[in-house]
Amino acid sequence: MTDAAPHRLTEWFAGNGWTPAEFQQAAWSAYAAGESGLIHSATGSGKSLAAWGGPLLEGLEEAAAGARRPAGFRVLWITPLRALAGDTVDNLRTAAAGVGLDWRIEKRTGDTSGSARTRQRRRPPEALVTTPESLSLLLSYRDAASQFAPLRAVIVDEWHELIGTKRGVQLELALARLRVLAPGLRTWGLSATLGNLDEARDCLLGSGARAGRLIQGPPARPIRIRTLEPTSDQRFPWAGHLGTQLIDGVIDELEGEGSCLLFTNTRSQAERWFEALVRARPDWIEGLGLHHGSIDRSLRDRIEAGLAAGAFRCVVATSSLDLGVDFAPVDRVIQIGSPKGVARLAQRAGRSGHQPGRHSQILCVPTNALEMIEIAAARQAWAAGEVESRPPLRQSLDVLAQHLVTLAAGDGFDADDLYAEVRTTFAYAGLDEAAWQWTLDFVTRGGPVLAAYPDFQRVVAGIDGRYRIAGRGHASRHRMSIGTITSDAAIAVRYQGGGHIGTIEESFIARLRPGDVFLFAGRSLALVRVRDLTAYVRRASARRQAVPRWQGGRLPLSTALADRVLSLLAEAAAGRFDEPEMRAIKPLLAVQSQWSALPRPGRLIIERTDSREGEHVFIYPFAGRLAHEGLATLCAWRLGQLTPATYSLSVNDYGFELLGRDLPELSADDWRSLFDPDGLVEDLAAAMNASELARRQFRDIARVAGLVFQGYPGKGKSARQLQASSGLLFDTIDRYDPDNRLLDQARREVLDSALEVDRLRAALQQMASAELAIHHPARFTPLAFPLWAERLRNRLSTQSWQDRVARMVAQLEKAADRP
Amino acid sequence: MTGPVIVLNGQSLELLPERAVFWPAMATLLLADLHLGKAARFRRAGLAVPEGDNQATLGRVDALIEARQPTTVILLGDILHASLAADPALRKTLLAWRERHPEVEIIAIVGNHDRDIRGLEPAIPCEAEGLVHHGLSLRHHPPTATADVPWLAGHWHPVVRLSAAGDSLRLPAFVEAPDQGLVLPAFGGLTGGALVERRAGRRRYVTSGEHVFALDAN
Repeated sequence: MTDAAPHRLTEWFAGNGWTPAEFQQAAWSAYAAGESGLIHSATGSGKSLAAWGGPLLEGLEEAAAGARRPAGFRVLWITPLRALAGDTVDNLRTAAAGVGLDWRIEKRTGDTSGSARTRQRRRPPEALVTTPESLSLLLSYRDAASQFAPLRAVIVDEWHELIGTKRGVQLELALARLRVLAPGLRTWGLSATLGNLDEARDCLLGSGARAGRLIQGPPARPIRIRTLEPTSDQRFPWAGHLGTQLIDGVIDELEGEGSCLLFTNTRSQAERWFEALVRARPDWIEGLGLHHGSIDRSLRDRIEAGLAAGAFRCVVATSSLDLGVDFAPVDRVIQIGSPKGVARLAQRAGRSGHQPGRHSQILCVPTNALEMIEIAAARQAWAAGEVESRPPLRQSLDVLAQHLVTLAAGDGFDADDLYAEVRTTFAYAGLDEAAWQWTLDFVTRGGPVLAAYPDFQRVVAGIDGRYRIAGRGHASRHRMSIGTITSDAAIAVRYQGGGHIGTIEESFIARLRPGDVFLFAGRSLALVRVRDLTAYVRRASARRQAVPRWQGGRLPLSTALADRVLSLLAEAAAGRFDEPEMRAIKPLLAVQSQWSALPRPGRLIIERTDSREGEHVFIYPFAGRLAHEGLATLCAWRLGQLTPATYSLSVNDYGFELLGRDLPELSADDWRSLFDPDGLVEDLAAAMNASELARRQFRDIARVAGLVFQGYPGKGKSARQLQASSGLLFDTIDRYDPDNRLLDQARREVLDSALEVDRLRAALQQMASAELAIHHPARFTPLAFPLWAERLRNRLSTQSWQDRVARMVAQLEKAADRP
Repeated sequence: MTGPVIVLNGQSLELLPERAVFWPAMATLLLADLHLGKAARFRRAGLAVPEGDNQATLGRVDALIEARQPTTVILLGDILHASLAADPALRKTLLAWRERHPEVEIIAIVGNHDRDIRGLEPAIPCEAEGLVHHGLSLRHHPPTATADVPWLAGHWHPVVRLSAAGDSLRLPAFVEAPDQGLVLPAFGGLTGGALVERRAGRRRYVTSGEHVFALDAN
């Protein structure tokens, strides 16, 4: 490296009053040495420049040496969110101009206009900021090989957001392709704190890249976690989800100078808090904003810009603002409800107070008494450095199938070469020949059983042995479906007059009838009609509103946090109350230990209470909501094998409830046999109506693998002829091609992600060896009450399907049915 | 198995759990929306949906013919899903099916999907919707205005969502309209459904496959 280049970068740093940090310099020299790696550092510590500096220095050096510029992309910058692309382009441009490089830096996302795309293909910019989907799209065009041949570096921003998702896998595959097109390509990732950073790095680099580095930034600033405690005259709810009881305390907090971000866990909670704030302080309305993933881009942009300009007193947001939108830090951050995870809490807190030497601060607002414990647990876990991991996905054949078609639409592929290439990724390192061959058959012949798929065509082998797409129509349909990996069936929300307000899950709209009023983007809207994937609405004044319940709203408590909660309870049982939150709920814990007992590691509490509804059993394994759902179902099903019955089930993050009539009295040994980890998967499959769950899970798989063609507005009959629900396809494939591996994948995904079967198994093992404390409290204990109050009840019945229908019809005879 | 009986224009019609209607006085079996060839249409577009539904659907018609011994089978439209010209295998399958039942008169009412079904004539005679047959109007589309002649139709693929006590099921349904009409559920295996809500004046009948249950008692 010549001396001039690093000098220019350091000079530019100095011009801004900065000095390059140690980790930045380490990243730059690792890049110069041809290495790849992952950079881990806190928000606002200069991660982007750590990654961007290397390519800039290289560019300066080559310019100084008078090297001819190759036509094609030099650097790709991958960002998980389209919304981040614009800001990223600005930041990268500023730095490039600052060191005197006249690079063109552009973005390419789903929003990029056709003319810009054409220009980018004809005259590729030096650096392109894009998303995993748009990168896949670029690979689906014929000139991909020549466009990417000059590529020097790929930088993956916010890798922690992509790892563990199918989009992450899609990106792994694209990176493997790029490494073949551009040998010597360096891959650098940027990540926030994760429990499995080494694995995250290995997953990003695959085995195709040179051994990678893990570069650590400066330690994160300390975080001060405070809790808004209810005043003594406020009755503290034992249960409840969306309560805005503590709004007065929040308003007090907002009275201060400066800006605030108020985070909620769900979009419905965000809508409610926004509305409550507007109602409580109508004089603040200009300074209040609402930001979540369903709200239209332009509205969100306006809010982000307003935040940057300090125009807002408070913006209510969900995880849509968790990602690194690069606005100025706010003065304070408020978290409504438990953060449910340590990493999430730290990231949100990191939004506040970026001034050197200052703490990040977050004020947590519990929505029920037990959340106090979770907040205390999060503080301890963060101090102890216990942060959640995000395990990468493996062997998702739906994503692989999509990738094969993508490459077939582009330059085509040779099967043997591609098999070797795919196995360089972390996700498919263990892909065996049979699974590979099945996937290849799936895209070329529909499936290995030829008789089942006559006339199928999608990808065909040419006389040269290369696989290519069957025709233009196939290519364009495929390109349209590439972007659909993440989207839930989203439908647009528009005013009848035309204004676009945002998008919303179809499952929510499907529950509404024309005329129904719902709260969305901070407005009361009445549904007019749904047509062509658009919900037409008008403004409404009605008071009674439904608040959309979006998916993903019910995050399970992470294992790290759940373990801490349990040990805090154990401390309380031993009379230790170190954390202020624990002191605040001391009276409640006293009731719990008086009526029953406080749980602790190695002791499982079982409470049995009778009421007019029947006999309730409450069990507290502290394994998180999803695992409890599986545990509750499993226990009810195994009980049902002893005595046929129907049970109502209820779960939360701490435990579960079984409610039934004539529940037999069970000894400790009886319970232990119910908790037997042997036969877990089989029993669970039998109990959970696993095929119904898999059928639902198939929705995403079918979309990714290209089994459903998503209609789009304004396309006529030919598109309508291709509409079928994924459930129907699941049934059809199950009946006529039962060995189809995508069905297996659906079943596997249900066990892994919908039921967290590993966590469930671990919980069962602990339960089987734990000391059982069986209590018979006369009333619902503080731990039991939230379970009882949980309104969503599942029911497990051993009655046959015909009987269920007959029973339901009988019930409907009594009360008029509702949709 | 027998199902509930409804009366249209003095004619008793039995609603069968197999998603069909039997008209005993005329020994006639009525079916709607077979959507044959749907999977093949998907496959030609690159969506890997396996074959099997055509044979299974026609097999279920065979079973009904065997059980009820009708002299006439009337198909209330959307027998085909896509163009027959693009699917010669389906054409052969349909003609072979026709030959298996030489003693039965088969009439097809032309639905919106049946663009080239007349290519099956004369083996399967086709009629435009609105044909009045012993006092009942045979249609594919349910009439949009109140009809003068009692009618039978398909096209909607009606389904009803039952939910009670935390349980929920989607079941195919017959819909009896207030103006002396009946909409049949889709008979084909690869057909989706449109939810039909409770509404004053109309009655819905859901089928579980083994029984038909009347909803919306007055």
